[in-house]
Amino acid sequence: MRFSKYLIPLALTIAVVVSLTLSVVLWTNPANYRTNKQTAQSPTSQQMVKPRGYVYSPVQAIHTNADGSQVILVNKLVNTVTEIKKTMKNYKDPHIKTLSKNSKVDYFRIANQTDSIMLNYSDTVSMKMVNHIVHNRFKKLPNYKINRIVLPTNNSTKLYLLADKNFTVYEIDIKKHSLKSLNNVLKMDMRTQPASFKLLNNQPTVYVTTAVQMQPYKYLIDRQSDDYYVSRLLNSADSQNINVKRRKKTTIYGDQSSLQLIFNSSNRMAEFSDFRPNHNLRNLTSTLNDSYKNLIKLGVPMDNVRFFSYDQKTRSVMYRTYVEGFPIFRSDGFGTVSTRTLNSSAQRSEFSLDNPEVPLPSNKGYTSLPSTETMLKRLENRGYNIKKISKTRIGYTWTKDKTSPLLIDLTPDWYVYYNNRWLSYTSLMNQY
Amino acid sequence: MNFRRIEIIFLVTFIAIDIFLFGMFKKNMNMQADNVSQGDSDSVIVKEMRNDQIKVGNLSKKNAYAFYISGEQSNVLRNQMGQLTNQTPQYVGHELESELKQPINVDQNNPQKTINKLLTDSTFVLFGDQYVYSKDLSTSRNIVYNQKAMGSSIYSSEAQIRFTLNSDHQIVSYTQSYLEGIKSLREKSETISETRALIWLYQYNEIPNNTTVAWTNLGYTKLLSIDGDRVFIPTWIIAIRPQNSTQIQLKRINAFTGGIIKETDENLKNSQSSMD
Repeated sequence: MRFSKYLIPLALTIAVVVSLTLSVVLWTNPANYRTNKQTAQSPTSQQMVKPRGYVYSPVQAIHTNADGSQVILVNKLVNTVTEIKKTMKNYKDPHIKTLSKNSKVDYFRIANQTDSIMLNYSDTVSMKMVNHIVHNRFKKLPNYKINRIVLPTNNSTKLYLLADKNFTVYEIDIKKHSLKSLNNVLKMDMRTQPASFKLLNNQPTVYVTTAVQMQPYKYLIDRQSDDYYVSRLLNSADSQNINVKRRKKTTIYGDQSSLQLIFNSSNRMAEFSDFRPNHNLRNLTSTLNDSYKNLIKLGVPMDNVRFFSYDQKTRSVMYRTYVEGFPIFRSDGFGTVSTRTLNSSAQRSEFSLDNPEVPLPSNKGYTSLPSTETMLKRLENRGYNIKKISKTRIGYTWTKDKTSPLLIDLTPDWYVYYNNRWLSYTSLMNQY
Repeated sequence: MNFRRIEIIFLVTFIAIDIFLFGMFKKNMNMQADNVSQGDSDSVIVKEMRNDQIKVGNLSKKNAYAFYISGEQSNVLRNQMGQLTNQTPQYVGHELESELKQPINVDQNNPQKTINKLLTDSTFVLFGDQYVYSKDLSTSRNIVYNQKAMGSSIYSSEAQIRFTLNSDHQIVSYTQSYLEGIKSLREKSETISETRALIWLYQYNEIPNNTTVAWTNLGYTKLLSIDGDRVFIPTWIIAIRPQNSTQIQLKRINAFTGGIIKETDENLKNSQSSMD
């Protein structure tokens, strides 16, 4: 009797609390205000969209073995970086601390530590981008800017992130996890290239220490028509009238007010300008995120397209197509896509209408590129000021094939960032 | 006493409200799942397909990995056919046609069991260990083996063994083609899943209503030839069969780009039309 006296008030209290909790949950859940988005998905917008973690991915892996010697892991049957990324998912309970700052000694001690794999981004990215490749495990970590990730192959509780600016080293402590899969990657079928990681004009740089054997390629290209992009980019609901202007080699499509698309038929490049208001955010994470959205909107093939660089002055983000893990450069230094925010009411993307799709068997055999030291020395002997070189890359030069408009030749070459431009070693050597 | 009654009324009301809110909450959760995961929108389209009377079995959503590969059409079969015994081989247009002097009995229901053993004998068939049985392309009178390549197999008449059987389940002859030096042209890359391949084919309006998807396979099919070299791309090969018909149509979806490959390989079609 006494118990039942409290039963009803108690049940009532619980019922009230439950209804309040559910109300709060329902009211605060944004899904409530969202309509079902599936209906908006149109079958015409099919394309292979690659996730952020694919585009904003490290592009090179360097292994330092037990005696301290280093090699670049070059793709052969597998994409080495992709295989390593696959193992980076079980990082539980991460805590980050700054290990050192402004100390080159500490920076290189961590970068070149024995038994480790270093993943290099092509340019600075933010922690939010790293988070995409570690299955969201780093979402709570501060949004530091970094260039490299160091994965020890014999210590399962630590990772390091390196920022080239100020030579900062961050240490991430994680729960013990298995290193078996990471060590298995090293046993896969891949080519290795002796290298060392040191300073070039005060910039951390991967030096190739011996001559490099590189495979020239012939590629079948994916040739996209102007129409595809016109209907994709200019066909928004508010633009009915598209006008066309033709000049000698350029065709300009516009919708009078806010969108413009220019095709150049001689170099098969296109430029898309969007004069609608944009967020005009300047920080790295939003720039990269915005740029990614624009990349998706363009609808260019994203196969092997990776983030290459971000230039803070011009606010342009460059993407390149990678072959065997090496970027492709066109004769003017351009890559595959570049996006740029000019101001709060202008964004511009440049992209190539032709993109490499299928590699073709080549009987050319390997060509040899000199080591980094040799390359720099030869440039110096030619009269170039080596101090002006801030970056070097092994890349592929894009040239039209003489036999067919559907084929291109990719020739291996050294590329140096000289006077704020990417120039090929061959072109520099042939200049005088 | 009155207060107690009020309490009971309140309790009943609040429980009713709780049930209602909980129902809302669950509905919300489902809606969220629909919005968030791509997989669910895929299954919606698959449902749509089933509504169009297109019969599909269980589809895999797993992405596989594949290569671009090449192989060379060479005369190695002609050069080595001297070692074949108990048959009369002829080399015609890069194909080895051979008639057996004595027909060989095979298992009626599982002919591949017998043939798999025979293929290890290099005096019976050259490079026999490099071929794998294709149940989908085989018929009761025509047993097809495809050449293996990089963890999958090639669907092409240029890399195939076709055994001809008589009505007594005996092999009487075979035709073989072979590609030499199969190699990858680029590192391994991710392909689209079986579900996505089928959805795209459906969205290209390539699957008519009232059809059955007989089988799907991820294999290599020919993209182009350059002199003696053949370039193959990973392809989802989808066989569809209109209801009330036995004729199978093959559709191909590029497993890297998801694009449809329109021009069907003539020879692949030929081997199909012999189906009864």
